[in-house]
Amino acid sequence: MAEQKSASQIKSWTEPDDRLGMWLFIAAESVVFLCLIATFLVSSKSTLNGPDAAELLELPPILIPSFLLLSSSWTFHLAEKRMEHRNISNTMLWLSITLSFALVFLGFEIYEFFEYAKEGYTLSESPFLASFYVLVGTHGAHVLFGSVWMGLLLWHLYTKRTIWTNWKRIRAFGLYWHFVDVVWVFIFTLVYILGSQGVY
Amino acid sequence: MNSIPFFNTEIDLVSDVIFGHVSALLLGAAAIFFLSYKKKWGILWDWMRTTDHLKIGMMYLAASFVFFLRGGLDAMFVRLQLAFPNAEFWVFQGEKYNQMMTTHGTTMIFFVATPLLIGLMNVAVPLQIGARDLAFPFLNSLSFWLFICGGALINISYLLGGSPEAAWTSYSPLAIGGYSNNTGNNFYALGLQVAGIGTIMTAINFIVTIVKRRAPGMTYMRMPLFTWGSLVAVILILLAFPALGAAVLLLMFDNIFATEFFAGGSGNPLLWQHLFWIFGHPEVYIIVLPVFGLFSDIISTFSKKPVFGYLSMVIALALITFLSFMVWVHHMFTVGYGATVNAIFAISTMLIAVPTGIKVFNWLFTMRGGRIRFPTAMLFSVGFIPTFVIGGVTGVMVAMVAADYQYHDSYFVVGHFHYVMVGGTIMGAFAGIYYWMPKMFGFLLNEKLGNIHFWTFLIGFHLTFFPMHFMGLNGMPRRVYTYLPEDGLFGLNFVSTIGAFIMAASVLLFLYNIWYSYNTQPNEAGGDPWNGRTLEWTIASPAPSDRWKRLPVINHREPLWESKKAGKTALEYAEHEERHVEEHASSLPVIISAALFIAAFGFVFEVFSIAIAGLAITFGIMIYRSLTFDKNVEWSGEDSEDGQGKGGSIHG
Ligand code: HEM
Ligand SMILES: [Cu+2]
Repeated sequence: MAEQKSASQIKSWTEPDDRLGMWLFIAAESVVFLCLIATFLVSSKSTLNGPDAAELLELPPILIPSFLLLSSSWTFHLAEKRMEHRNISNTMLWLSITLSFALVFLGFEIYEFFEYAKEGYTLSESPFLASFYVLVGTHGAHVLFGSVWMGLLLWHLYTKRTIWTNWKRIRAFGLYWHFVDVVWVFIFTLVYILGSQGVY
Repeated sequence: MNSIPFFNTEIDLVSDVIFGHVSALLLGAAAIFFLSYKKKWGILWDWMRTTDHLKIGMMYLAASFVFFLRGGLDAMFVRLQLAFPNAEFWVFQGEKYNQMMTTHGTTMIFFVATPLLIGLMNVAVPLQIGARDLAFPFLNSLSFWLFICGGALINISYLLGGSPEAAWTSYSPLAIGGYSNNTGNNFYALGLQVAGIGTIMTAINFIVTIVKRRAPGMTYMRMPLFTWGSLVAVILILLAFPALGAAVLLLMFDNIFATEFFAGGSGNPLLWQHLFWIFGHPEVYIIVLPVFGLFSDIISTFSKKPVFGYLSMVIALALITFLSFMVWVHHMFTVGYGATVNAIFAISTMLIAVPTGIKVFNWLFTMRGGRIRFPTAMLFSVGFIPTFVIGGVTGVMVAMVAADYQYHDSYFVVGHFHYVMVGGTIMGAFAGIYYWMPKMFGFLLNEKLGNIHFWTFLIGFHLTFFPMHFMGLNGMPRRVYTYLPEDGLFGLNFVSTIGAFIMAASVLLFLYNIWYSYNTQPNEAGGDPWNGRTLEWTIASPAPSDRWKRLPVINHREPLWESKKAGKTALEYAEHEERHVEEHASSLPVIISAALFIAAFGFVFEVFSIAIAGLAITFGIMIYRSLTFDKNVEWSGEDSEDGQGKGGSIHG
């Protein structure tokens, strides 16, 4: 009897459903990124009159933003742990730190794109540049989306504290955010490291 | 030629376009008049905001049927143009023919076959597994409206500067760089993007529902086969549609932002083909696996026997799902990848015939020794078996690489895929509608008209598509708008056109049947009109809006049949109504979809202020949704003892 009860309690909780939904969403998103990475790989040699990857990309400037983005997974994890202990102000603190890391990353990416554009390296220059912008830009759009989402989370936490909806929100967002980070690991390796070393 | 400028394109004032505009206006006016005259606006608005899976399922079916009529009209134009050698039917030659043929294919695949099945899933899956609703009812409504919005985009293209004309496969470089109607290609890319997002969300919704929301005791191995077929189909959607999303995203960049991903010279046209078919082949299983399951259910019900080889049916479904991601290059045999690549993909393709064969034999063995009845739903199921076998055999034929060099891009292929898509998906949808009609509306469709519908459809179908195989073998390529008298193709084509008219009449008869049955059939089909076996037949017809007060407790694969055998009148139900969330109706899905429609419209005509405004509204509403979420849901059912639930502990 006791066992049955607890099973139905878990059922009444929507958080596991949201998490499963988010996992599935991540599966779908992974396919999108796989396709865009494949596009990058097949287009990377088609540079026409534009620069190739080694000319375009430099490793040092991207290191700090990458470091910040990857750390934001850790800071988010801390926020989640604080939420578990119902320590809302610390949750909000760590979440704000996560958000600021994301914003710095985003700022750098926008700056990077503008720098390239200034040199005339635009989207329509060559399939290589196009695939670079679309792949990195799609990831950037995910960071932007996540940042707005974090802003909303902060607002929810600030106004409603520890209600069940906030807990499930944090949990679902966590999966999304870690995923965005993992994608960056791949982009960083395949595009920036290999690209700047002249592999393509 | 007269034309009026429209954003970055022009609308030619020629007879067919004017006809289109006038009929759109008349239909719109008629709808507005009807709604006002009968004072139905309120009801319409209720339906538009609903998050109820049954109502959404019915709307899916109705909307897909409207698109079916549109795609069917295109097919009639195509068949009329091809009825005689050197024919010149109305304007449908050259470019206009290509537009018709492309809209036909695109509409039929994305806005008929796929949503018809999603409609049936919405109607039946929650009832079959004892779920109160889908896991995310709001998302379900949003998926539906995104599908409508994508379908609307593809359908208005003809009136606003021309439809896509690069075929439903939209191969590049034909589809980019001005080789074909650019507005049309944008409509294709944006329409499929919007509808595709909705379809992916549906997939997530159904997987979570089936995994998490089954009634107590409803184990995986007790699920009806339609639910199994739906589960594997939505898994395919989840993994295949994102590839289409990426592909049309890149296509959009090529056409709107002047990139050259798929361009002939610097880009890579084959990249499109890969992305498209990595989606495209699973898509053909997406539209057939649910009907495989459906036919299993129907055949078992009307043979008065359990499904033969249930476990092997499930394994076969899973195998087909798995294999269907490894065969896409069979659409590209003639590209020239060489013998090894072609051989690998030929073998993986032929492997799929094995699980499919298992299913065919299991259907036959389910009927063997049964007490068979033949209402219309069963007729369609039995008619499906030989039809699908023919489609499967020609499928293995085109999988043989050397022979495929002959069949490729000929009418043989057109014959082949209509055998599986019309013979499988469309006949399956008809069967499903006859079968579940009482669950939706409370009355049965007239069986006499149903019989005529079935026989005319079957005969018309074979007359239309069987000759196509021989046209292909005699050298007629697909996607051409005419042929010469000396080609010797007239007889076959003429028969095919006659068949198409018989099918069209048959479809109209079906519509008449709905209207006729609505007026004459008693509204008392009862919960279990077919002497059913599975869970959905234990509740009243039409399914009441408050479906399960307390969830049923399942202890057998055929719960209803089992309780009938035990002489019981009702199932066992859980002791109390468990605590669960209920979602209220909401107008936000309609508004979000409308905003995305505006955004897509802006992209199609490359007016970026409109596009950005549309996107801004979309995200704005999403934020609004997040802020008001708590007000739109409600906990219901019994509270559990230790204070968990609303506002309680955050520990699940
Ligand atoms: C209602 C009766 C139908 C008739 C008479 C019909 C007829 C045709 C014909 C003649 C073509 C070849 C056009 C060409 O190659 O030039 C065609 C193409 C096609 N049909 Fe149908 N069809 C029907 C129903 C369907 C259905 C129900 C589906 C899908 C569920 C479908 C899917 C397609 C597709 C995907 C193409 C390929 C279009 C392309 O090449 O881009 N058709 N149809
Ligand atoms: Cu295929």
